[in-house]
Amino acid sequence: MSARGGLEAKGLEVRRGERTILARLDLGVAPGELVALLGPNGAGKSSLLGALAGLLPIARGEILVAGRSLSQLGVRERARWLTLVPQETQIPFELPVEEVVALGRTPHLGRFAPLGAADRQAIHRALVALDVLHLAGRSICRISGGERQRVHLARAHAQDAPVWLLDEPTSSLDLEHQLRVMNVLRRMTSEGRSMLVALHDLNMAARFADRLVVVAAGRIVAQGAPREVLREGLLAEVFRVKARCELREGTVEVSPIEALDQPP
Amino acid sequence: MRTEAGIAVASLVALALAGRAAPSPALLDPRRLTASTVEEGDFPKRMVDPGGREVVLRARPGRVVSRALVADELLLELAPPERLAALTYLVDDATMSLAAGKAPPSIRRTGGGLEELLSLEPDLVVVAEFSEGSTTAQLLSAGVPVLRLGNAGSFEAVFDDLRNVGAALGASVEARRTIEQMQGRIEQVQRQVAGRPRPRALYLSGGQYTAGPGTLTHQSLTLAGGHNAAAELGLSGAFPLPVEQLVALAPEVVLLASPEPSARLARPSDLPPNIPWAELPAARHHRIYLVPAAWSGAISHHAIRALEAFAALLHAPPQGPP
Amino acid sequence: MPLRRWLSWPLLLLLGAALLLAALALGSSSVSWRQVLDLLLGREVPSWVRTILIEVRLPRALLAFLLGAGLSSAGAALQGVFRNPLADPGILGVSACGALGAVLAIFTGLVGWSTAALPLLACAFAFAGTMVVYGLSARAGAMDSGDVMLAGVGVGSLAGAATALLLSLSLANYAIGAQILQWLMGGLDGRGWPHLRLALPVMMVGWLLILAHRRDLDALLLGDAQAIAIGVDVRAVRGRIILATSLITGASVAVAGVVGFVGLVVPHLVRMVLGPSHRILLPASTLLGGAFLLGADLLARRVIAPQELQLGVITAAVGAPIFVHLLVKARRGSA
Repeated sequence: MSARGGLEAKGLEVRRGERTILARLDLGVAPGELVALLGPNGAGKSSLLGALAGLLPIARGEILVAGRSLSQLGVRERARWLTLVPQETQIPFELPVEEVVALGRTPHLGRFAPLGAADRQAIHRALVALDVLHLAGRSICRISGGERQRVHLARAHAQDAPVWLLDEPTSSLDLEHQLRVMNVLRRMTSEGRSMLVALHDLNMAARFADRLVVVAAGRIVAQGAPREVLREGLLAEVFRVKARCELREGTVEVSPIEALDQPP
Repeated sequence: MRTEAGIAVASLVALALAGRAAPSPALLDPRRLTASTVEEGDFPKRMVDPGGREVVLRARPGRVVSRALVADELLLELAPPERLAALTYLVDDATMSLAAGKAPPSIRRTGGGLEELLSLEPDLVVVAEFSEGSTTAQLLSAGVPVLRLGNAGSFEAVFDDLRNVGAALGASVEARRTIEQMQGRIEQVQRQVAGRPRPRALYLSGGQYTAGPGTLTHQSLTLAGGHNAAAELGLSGAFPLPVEQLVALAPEVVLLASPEPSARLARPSDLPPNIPWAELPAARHHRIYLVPAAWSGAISHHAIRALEAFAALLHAPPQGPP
Repeated sequence: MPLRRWLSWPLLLLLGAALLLAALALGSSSVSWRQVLDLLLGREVPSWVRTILIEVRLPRALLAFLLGAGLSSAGAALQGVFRNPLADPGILGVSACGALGAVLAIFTGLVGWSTAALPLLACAFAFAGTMVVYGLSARAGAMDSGDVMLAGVGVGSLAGAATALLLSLSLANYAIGAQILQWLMGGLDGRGWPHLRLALPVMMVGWLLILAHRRDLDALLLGDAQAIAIGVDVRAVRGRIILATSLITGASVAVAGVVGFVGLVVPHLVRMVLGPSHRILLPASTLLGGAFLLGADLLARRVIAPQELQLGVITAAVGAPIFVHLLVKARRGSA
């Protein structure tokens, strides 16, 4: 790790046309902390990650990484501090895995500079850390969804940014690979990174996250340790499900029972 | 932002360089090619070439190459065969050329390709107004003297062509003689048709194209004592005539260009089927004629043959059905 | 892959050199290989041979190489920006827009005022055309093959119709009409040093601009979100690449008219052998593209000699089947 980060958003507001997508949102992720971003579809999770990553313009507010404002940084410099792994996108050409991971070095390289020894080391470390070294020469189009997700994480690893934003990193994976990816993220966090991970699976969030942030209709409606946040009332109000929340082996376990038709 | 500005400047500089790069604008815009003019008198003499530059013809050219049928005809009229390095293939085509069968087979025939022209090592290439501009421009940039004929839209323009080719070949005397002969024949035609009524005449080639003002055909029809009906449309040059307008013009005499070697009355089978001939006065009075395209298409001194044929046909006594 | 990669460079260079030699030696007049060799070695040759080789065949061969190299790089770059292997200046209607600009420069007589008007208008129209195609297809959300093609067909036919209008307005003037037609059909007949000097600086700027963005183009393959995440200013890069491809397409249309499919065929072949990474793809497409168009022009000159085929006919004959193949593959991929 080149630098310790820590992410902070203050009074963040994002609009699309007349509509307010995120309203006055305050959020912080400390170094070495994994925060899960929860919320029903359309709550604004992807928009929040997009705004933090610089994909969406910010109407008001400020984003700080390691205490410095991102708005003062260019796209390139920002990428040295913060990276995003978006939801699975289709890649139309058969790029080898190694090249995808190597692209993580882009913000550290001059326009005409070839990869140097330090870059090659970083790429190798990333391939090893995410257990994709054996795939290095394979085409990104011809590996499984779980492998592809790990390749994108390896790209972020090679990028060496202290703050990671992840949008549904487990969405297309089977149970085994979900667990593997979450374990990897946990390990990355323990090395001092700040992780903000949008998740659908509440149990996965409860088990792996230090803290949960629940968004609904562009606002934060709850945040805190899993056992404080995951309560039956909140699930009914925000996710519109009737569910049972039980404390078991130090984590909360959520068992959904049925969808609620009417607002309670 | 500084990067974008740099890119914009680089692009503009490159475009400006491109603008300076092409020294011969004629290569890009053939409208800039002009007819050549040649000084009369003794060699060495000056010629203004199609690019507008002055070149010097040091001596009487001995390897003259033609790039157009009209040039073939003019060269055969004015120069001895041994000074002609090549004529076009068209010169042997009897449907177009009055020199067919008369041009000495010893002279080479060409398709007019640039490489072939250069390999003949010509000391003068004669091209027509309609010859492909890019080849002309490339000949010029390869340093070959090129004489470009004029627009041949009138007998005066043909006289100019004869004068210029004659001067370039050192055959001004022969050129003057040919011009005088033509003038004599024109005057004869005019005497012949003086005081006769002027029939409304229409010329058609390829079943579609007619000739308006600014063409030799128009001038010939007029000199031959006719009234060119196509002139009423307000268009000049050769242009396609819509069938409706053809009918509306109601010509009393129609002259159709034909591949045959002599003029004659048209039979129904000769007529292009897309035109309602029965509607035309010319058909009702059996005054549709075929004229050899080699005459009516000629834009050299042979154009006089078309004038004489027109004069004869426009004033021929009406006949019965063919 | 590395072995293939190292072998490719000398092979590509060799291919280019061999075709260049063939383009010098073969032609409608009878210049012998020996005379070509004599000229190359600086020995005495008849002056007409020198003229044909230096003034006719050499500039034409170099121009063919330049256009092939440029159009192939432009095609590869457009495919990266559109994230679509079917993108190509011809198929996107960019060439047709460039041709409209060139024809307009001639029709209005601006060329007479300054030669620069020809590439300037061609490049400007190509740029506007690409922006419109991009705008239309990006508006529909994700960059779908079908949307890109439809936008390209629409813009291309609009430009074609406008060009046809100008053509019909200038039919009365035989010289302009013939000139414009020649533009639309595409070819290198009658092209010489001035055309090379006209196209070269503009194409060089475009080509360097593309090459400077080879890593950004790789990043764009991962999608906009990931590209931004790794520090690529996606909007700026896209704008620059579109400008660069417009410069190349505009310059090539200004001297040789619309020569289609080069930008589609060549990057496709290179990707099959050397992979899609632009670090390799761009220089390899440059070399192979140059050789490809040089070979195509050689065929155009020789197949029905002494007459010439239109260059566009040859490139279409090779390109159309590959286009259909890619189209079918894309449909299967999305199904």
